[in-house]
Amino acid sequence: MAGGRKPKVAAPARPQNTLVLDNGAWTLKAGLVCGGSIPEPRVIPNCIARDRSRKIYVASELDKCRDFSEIQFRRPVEKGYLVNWEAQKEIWDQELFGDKAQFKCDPSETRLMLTEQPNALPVLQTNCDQIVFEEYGFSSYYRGIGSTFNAYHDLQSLFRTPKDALTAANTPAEIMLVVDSGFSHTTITPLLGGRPLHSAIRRIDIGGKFLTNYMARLISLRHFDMRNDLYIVNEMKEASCYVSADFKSDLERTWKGTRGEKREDYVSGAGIVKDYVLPDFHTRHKGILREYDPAQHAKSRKLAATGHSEEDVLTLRNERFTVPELIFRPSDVGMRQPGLADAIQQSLHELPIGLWPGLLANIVVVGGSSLFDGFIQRLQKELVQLVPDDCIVRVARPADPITNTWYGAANMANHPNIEKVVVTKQEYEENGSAWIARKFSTGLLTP
Amino acid sequence: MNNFGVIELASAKTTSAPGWAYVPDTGILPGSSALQPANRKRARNAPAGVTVGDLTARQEAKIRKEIEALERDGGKDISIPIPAKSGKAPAKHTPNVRKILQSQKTFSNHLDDFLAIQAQVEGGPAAAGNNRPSNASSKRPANKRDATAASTPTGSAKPTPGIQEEDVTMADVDLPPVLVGQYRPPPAAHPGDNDPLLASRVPDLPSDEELRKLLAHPPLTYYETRGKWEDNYPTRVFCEVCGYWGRVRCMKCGTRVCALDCLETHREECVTRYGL
Repeated sequence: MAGGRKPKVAAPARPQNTLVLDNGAWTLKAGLVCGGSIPEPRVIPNCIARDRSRKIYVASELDKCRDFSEIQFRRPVEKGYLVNWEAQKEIWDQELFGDKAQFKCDPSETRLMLTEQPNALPVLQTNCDQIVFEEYGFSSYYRGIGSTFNAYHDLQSLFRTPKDALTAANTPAEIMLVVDSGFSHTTITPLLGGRPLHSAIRRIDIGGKFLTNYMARLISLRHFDMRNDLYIVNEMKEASCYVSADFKSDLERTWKGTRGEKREDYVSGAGIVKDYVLPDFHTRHKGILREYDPAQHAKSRKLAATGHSEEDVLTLRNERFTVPELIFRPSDVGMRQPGLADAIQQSLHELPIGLWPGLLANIVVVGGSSLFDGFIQRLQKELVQLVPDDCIVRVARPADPITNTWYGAANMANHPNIEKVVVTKQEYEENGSAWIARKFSTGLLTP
Repeated sequence: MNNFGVIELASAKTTSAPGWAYVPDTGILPGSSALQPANRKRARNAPAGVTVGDLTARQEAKIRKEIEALERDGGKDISIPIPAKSGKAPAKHTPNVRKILQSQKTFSNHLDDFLAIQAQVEGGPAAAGNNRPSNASSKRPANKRDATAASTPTGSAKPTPGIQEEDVTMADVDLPPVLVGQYRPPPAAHPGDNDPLLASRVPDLPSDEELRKLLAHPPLTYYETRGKWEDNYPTRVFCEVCGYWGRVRCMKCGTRVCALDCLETHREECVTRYGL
């Protein structure tokens, strides 16, 4: 990655500043790229929240919130697509252009690079273009599919491919397959030289939101009602869930058994069961995940009987792995969609077989939901079973899958390619939004 | 005693309540046999590997409702107002921007609009029916894809393959080869290279022309990209109480549970209500 991040001398971008904005549903990633140097992006919650005492927090103000119980969110991005501009403008105004913004930029002298999810509705894209130029007045602008920016990294160092010292990292990567598992959904995008192969883009409607909701439902059924505490459930999910390498045996080991049966694995926890200490927002602001300890449980039950229980403990058993399992088997909850590996195979079947080896050997997984332990190992294992034996399957996850797209976009901001796709305000005023939509959808292909 | 899954509340007078009626039992219908077992054996002999396909209508409705709930963001419908700014005059917007900012449409509203427009463009209600979201992820109108595929080559200038073959630089000329060749020379020849046991068969790369056609493919629509459900494997079923394999079914409502313990837990709250 380091090689890809080096500033390219050959590309003096006309506007010196580029605001790179990866506008996700859960967080937005923003940073100002000034003439070649790439700073750390800010990761800001993309939401307006209201807590129990009806106080309202906009975006990064959420840090000041002390009590997350029963907090509610309003998100401008719905199902991955920017829908509600009223809320989004409020957040952008505060975080990017307001008095408290960490970096100051004047839109009229700045280029905007904005990411979007593939297969957006044309009307939403048009809305976005109009706001960018008519409301903010950026001097130039590029809106591209988020996954494609991941090509602007040194892909082969991510896979630790042995290579000659002389060959510099060439960006965009020739051929790769990006799996983006985010908050709203999981998309599969094959890329050829940084350009998406539209006919083979596939999507599964399962993302972090769905998993959190599912976990909240399981806990509400088995322990106590947490359907209004999705924020806490989400933290619990991030802390405790993992993708099982062997689902059957894990499920077997967490089963309590038939009536009266004391299964050893169940009593001891089998290394899978964990305790999650819920935050009470007085003494404890973050939940704690710890090993399951049967002795401790007996003690705390006694304490609870006398009314001296100090902490609320949730024992997580098969919830730990049945929740992320949905990405690989959506049909477990009755959703009629293929699992991730099946969807990748469907995507490959749209393409000539000659591209398969290249795509399968360069699978990169990004997005917050890919952070589950065991995610890439499981994906690799399932893919190997599906694809022809001769194909080598390599699945990699960058060091930080959440900001990887942003860094890729920042690299592209310094790459000569950007000059070919960007649209200036003047062009917008001359040609209108329909022309822009066409230009962005053809992307790099235009000569 | 078998009461067909209906709970009778003790009451003196008879009311015409919705929910149950005497119907003639005409043989074993696939869906109703599980619901209305005439005897215990018939219930036991119901087909073993139940897939999503042969659930009862009630269970399907329940699953659909649950998935909708899972796809929602937040527990219930909420409206959080934008905090009012004090001491700031409302900024002026262009008419377009004002329209967009004031729009309260949700994504599903936009999606419905889009489908309606698409149906109009494609002409005729038949196409509209094909694109309905509900359960038709696999029903992609075949004629439409052909049309788009046929229209693409005219849009993009055809390169002349052959000229670009030798061009190995990554220079951004107008029509470079789509894929660049090898970066390093192949390793030196080895006497064992021709051994049929060592030979690896690699499919040929598609031609430049083919790749260019792929790259010029227009974006698919929202529903076209959704993964297609294939009924290759039986659906796994889980215990609704503890999450283990669902090996036993509740005789009343068909809910899956794992063993007696969970079945008893489930029975406590098993109510088969009209319309549930």
